[in-house]
Amino acid sequence: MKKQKKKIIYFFYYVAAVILAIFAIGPLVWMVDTSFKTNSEVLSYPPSWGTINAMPSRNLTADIVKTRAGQSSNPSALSLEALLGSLSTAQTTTLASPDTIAIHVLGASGYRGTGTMPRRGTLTISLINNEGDLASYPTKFSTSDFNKVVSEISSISPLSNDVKQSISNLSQYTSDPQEYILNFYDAFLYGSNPIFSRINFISNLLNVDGMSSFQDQLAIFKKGIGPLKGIELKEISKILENALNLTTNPSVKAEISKYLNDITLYLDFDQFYKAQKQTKFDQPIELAFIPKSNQLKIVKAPSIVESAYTSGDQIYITFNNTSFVWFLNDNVSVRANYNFWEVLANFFDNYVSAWNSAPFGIYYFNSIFVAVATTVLNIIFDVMMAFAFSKLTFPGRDKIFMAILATMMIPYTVLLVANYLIIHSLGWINTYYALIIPWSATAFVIFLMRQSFNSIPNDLYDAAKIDGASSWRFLWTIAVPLSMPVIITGALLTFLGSWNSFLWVLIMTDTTNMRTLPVGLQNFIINSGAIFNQLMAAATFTMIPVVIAFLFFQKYFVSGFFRSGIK
Amino acid sequence: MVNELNKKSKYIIGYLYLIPALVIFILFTYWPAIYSFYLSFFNTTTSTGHAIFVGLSNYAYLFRTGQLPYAFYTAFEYSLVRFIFAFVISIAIFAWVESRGKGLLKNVIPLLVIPILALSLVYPALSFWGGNIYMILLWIAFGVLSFYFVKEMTFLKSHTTLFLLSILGFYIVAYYIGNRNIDLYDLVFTIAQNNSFIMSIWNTVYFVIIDVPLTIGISLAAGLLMKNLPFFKSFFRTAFFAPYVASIVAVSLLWLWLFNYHYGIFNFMLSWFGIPPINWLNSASLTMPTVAILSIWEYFGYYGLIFLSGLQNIDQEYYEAAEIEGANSFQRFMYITWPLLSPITFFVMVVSLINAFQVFTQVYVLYNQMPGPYANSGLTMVFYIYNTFYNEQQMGLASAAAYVLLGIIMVLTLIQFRTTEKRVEYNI
Amino acid sequence: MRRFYIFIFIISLAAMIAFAQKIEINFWEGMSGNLGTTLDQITAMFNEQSTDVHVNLLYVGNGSDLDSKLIAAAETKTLPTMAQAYPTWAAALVSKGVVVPMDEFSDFNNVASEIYPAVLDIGKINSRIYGLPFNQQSYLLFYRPFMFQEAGLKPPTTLDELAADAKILTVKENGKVVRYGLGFRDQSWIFTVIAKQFGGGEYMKNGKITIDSTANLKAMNFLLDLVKNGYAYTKQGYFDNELTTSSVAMIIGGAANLPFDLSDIAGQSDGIKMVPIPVGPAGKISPVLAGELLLIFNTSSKVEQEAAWEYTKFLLSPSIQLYWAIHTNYSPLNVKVPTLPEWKTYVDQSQYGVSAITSGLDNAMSYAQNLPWWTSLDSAIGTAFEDVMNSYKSPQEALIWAQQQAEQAENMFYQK
Repeated sequence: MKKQKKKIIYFFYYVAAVILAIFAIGPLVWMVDTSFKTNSEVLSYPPSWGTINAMPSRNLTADIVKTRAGQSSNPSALSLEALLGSLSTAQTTTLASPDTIAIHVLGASGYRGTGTMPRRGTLTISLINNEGDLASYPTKFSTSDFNKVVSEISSISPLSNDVKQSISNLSQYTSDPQEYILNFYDAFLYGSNPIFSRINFISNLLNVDGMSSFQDQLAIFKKGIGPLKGIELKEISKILENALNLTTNPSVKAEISKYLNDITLYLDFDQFYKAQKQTKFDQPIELAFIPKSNQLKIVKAPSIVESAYTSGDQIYITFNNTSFVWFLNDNVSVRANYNFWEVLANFFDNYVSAWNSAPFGIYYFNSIFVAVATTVLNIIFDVMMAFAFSKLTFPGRDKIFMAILATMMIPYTVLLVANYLIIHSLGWINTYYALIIPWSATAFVIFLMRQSFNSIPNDLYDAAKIDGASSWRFLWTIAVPLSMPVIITGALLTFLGSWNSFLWVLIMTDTTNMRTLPVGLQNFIINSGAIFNQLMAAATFTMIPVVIAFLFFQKYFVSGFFRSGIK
Repeated sequence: MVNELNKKSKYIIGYLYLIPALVIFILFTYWPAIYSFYLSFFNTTTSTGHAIFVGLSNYAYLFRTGQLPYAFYTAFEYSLVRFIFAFVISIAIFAWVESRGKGLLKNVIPLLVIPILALSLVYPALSFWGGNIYMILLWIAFGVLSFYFVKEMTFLKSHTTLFLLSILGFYIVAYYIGNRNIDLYDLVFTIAQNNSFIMSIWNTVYFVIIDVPLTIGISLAAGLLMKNLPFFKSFFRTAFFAPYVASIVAVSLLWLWLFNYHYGIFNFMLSWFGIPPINWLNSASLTMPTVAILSIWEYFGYYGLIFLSGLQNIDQEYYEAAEIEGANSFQRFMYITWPLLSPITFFVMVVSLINAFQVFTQVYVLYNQMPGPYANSGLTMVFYIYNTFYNEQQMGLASAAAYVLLGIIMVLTLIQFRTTEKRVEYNI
Repeated sequence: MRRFYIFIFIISLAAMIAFAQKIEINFWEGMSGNLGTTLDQITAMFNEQSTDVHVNLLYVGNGSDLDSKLIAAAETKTLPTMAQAYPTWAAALVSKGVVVPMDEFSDFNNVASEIYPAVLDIGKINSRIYGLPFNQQSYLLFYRPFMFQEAGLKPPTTLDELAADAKILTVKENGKVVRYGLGFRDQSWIFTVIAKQFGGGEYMKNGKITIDSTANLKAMNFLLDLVKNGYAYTKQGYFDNELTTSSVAMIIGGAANLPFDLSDIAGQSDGIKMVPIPVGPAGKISPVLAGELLLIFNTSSKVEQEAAWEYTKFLLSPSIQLYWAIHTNYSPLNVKVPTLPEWKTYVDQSQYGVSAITSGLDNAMSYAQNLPWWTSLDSAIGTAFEDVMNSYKSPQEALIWAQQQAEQAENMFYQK
């Protein structure tokens, strides 16, 4: 019966212990889990434990840059010297060669190394058209067709003013078909103020008298991502034809037919454009990152691909004699693949980046040195004082003890400035002295030790005195070993107090080589936000050594370890 | 002569042990504290660029009541009346307990209180609450008479805390019976709207009341568990202690997500049980409880470890002897563990109270350096001091506030030493 | 005679050697993370280029940590040559008489002519220019373009459009809001941003505290209505969660938030774009700036002060302001920057609407004013704003309360 009872009691102990343990380390486990995630996964909801960093491949969101300007090198990728250099020569930015396509990978480089595309592994890039197949490009470009369609669209009339303007602007490119195509789509779809921007085009349409009855039918097209697509334009033209038939007012008819002509013009050109693209990609493009270089190695790709490189958030692929204009209307899918070692590197990426963002090696050394020195001195001085309060007698003993206790009661924020004054006058600013000495005596530990020494029977002390032992000998050979668990605990708490101390270190030190780990953690918190995953990584590697040391030194907490031999 | 010399040398030895730590305290605590005390009599940041001596006006400013509503005097009356009621009833009860079986006279007077109370509830004319002056005088008379009996009350003296709690309890009862008329409590709250220092005292006391008992209880449980679990001791000890090791900076961000109303994990887990989400961080009344949760999480392993070390100090032989005598685990706890642990328990009580009064960092990091979501609901005393010192650069005022805080903590600690330390068994 | 010449020669040689050694100055700054790295690069270049000055960058913490250190140093008279300081501490330090007025330097006017006049005013204390702003971020409206396109909307340019858009963009599912139209932090500076558009936001005018004004009241009510109707969401912290889960369509925030916002949405197909804060009844773009001033202290020698001035000029030069703006998204304070071709390329290529950080700079106002008791005023407004947004006080009550608190703080400062 007793054994059963014991088992039940132990069962309840374990239930309670497990609940407390989950409460205690649940958040910390979450913290470690977060330290492996990419920044955009940290705050996802519902919360998940997994991270894409552990996956051997990932899909990246990407789109094709549709303007020449967008392709040229971004000033944000330049170093300070390069930027100053380019400013001093007053060069106009050179545009990238037209045979190069720029693929913008969203969030690739990220903020301080927290991006979605780490620079390792291989990329599988597929250009995909609107129907979902691999994209096509022309191998033979028919100039005659081009000239034909240009003259066709020049003759379409009447047109709305914007379109008329654009077409006349385009006439300067009739000798350079690729420029013409680029600027055509720029004017109609992808530029800064495109003709077929949904809101503008539909609003213009609805402004025409008599179109207000088609409000509902047309308003739907206002909503949607990107400019109006071909299919939508065809539907709109059906509505417009309908409107044309229904109205009798000649000026309104003229207006409507203008817009109809706009659409027809566009669709004609688009048809010509599509007809040129006869050759399809037979395989996706596979590229590999080269360490310490912007160049990308071509692993496997159709012969049209000549070279590739990456800069900032973009991947640039250069084709063989084929302009990027043929892929303007296509989508791109990018998939990154990693082998085993690369996955491992991805997984610990945050730790590497975090470690490199501040001199954590120095911080580690300083933290350990300062904490150990503080603990040793603190224990020695506090044990002495606690012993005096406990076993020795002298006038004013208890009042002095109260006064010492009072030092715990005044918030140290108020004393900080005065302390700065004192430390400065001692010449200790930015030295180890400032970090160690002021914390070499704490009322907390003195009080703790006093309680422990108080539990040692006075008879023991009397006996020792009779034997001729001095108070000093008694203290260190008998009292301390008997109170060892408490002293070890006091030492541990002092160590941690010093390890985690932040504001004091920040105020009393000026330069990096004197600072400790908590100051290093501040590196990830900036005025406007925090880099969560790297902060969690740094917090983890700040915490882990202490936790591991604690695990190892468990045996010193076991009672009786130091007691043997006293009896 | 020799004895005197011996005594003197003993004293000197005592002082010698104190010296190293004392020097450090003098340099880095007492001297700054004196400087700070000196500053508290100055207005340090003025348009002249020099500090101006203002005497006690900083302290007066801290306790300014602003425009006192006329209700103050009424509130004071009501509070006084309620206090007398609570006091008399408590005395009566304790007297009755004391005098059971000791004679009729001593039994009667306390018991008279009950019918008079019943009458006053039933007959409004006799009502205590109406401010009927005769009733109040009668109650005061009973109070005085009861004091006469208090002199002999050993039960009351040995259960002072219980007596005080009883007064508090009946005071609250009186508040609810008496139509919830305005009370000093409401008045303090009104003053706190305009005086953020009073608000900070209010918030801090609220925090301490929630935090300290729970912290002591949970850490004691943790300490016992850490000692007595047969398997995986190291794991559990490390697990309980780990929260204290983690850096508060990272931890605070973590808790910000955990407590997030829409996307936090706590509300997510609550939704498994069908409980609607709680607005942890955006509700004034939940501010201090939320901070308390964070504080308990951080410190239960810390104090638990201290309890563990105290438990380790207890000689195993006592337990072995008890087992032989056939004591069960509850008896072992009550008669061996609890008494022998009392020095450490006392330590934890005193220290956790001192630390709880100085709560600041948790609020600072959980609420983006702001004192709570709104209405200054997270403004604790140290937050007030920090804010006044560094943000408003009123160093004199901040020092004055710090000394008020010191005073409060000191008084409470002294009370603890005077009352509870007597019951600590030092095994001497 | 010869010995005399040899003597002179040796003296001048020694003098040349002494002067050939660079003057070292300490600069206390609070730029951590990316800001710190960028400042490091800029300072390294300056040290390389300059023949007689070497600047030591000492990071002393963000925000109030920097303040603690400055206060401690001011008390102990151990100030460095140069430091960054928020306007209120700048004012406090000026009132302690330890700051060198920038307008004392001989070529000050050259530098001043290249900076937006409104921006120059930010460093004005007691009618003299004591500090020059170096890092100022503009408060802007961030919006998710795809959400707008799906709703067929263009980003708002007026406050009425803002309110209307917030209503349209709020999405509810099963009675619960899954996407708010607008999100903003209930901090005092956000209130100032909106109040400015109504003509308020300047809490001191002609020496009087003007917190309780009709303009401010209108601003409070404007935001409160949005919150009450459920179109806007307000909280204390940043909107990282809401961005990752795409549950807010517009956010009022500082430009320097951009890199963090981008991190949160990395991998989503919807991006984020900045536009200036929609204009109020006045119809003019009125940005509100927040940031720090560069201060030079007179506790250092004249030579060191001149050296610090050289460094200040370098920091405010067009090319450096351009680099700084590109890498930190703080506003470039030199008027020449928007004319540079690199800036134009940068703006053209940007998908995030970075041109917004320079719009309206000639009409800009700093959210924090150069008053030593500013923090008390600021926290009064902050508390009032929080109280109103959480329906704890009515707007009028809160503004009156804030006005009283500010007046109390002012009285304490002017105590004789």
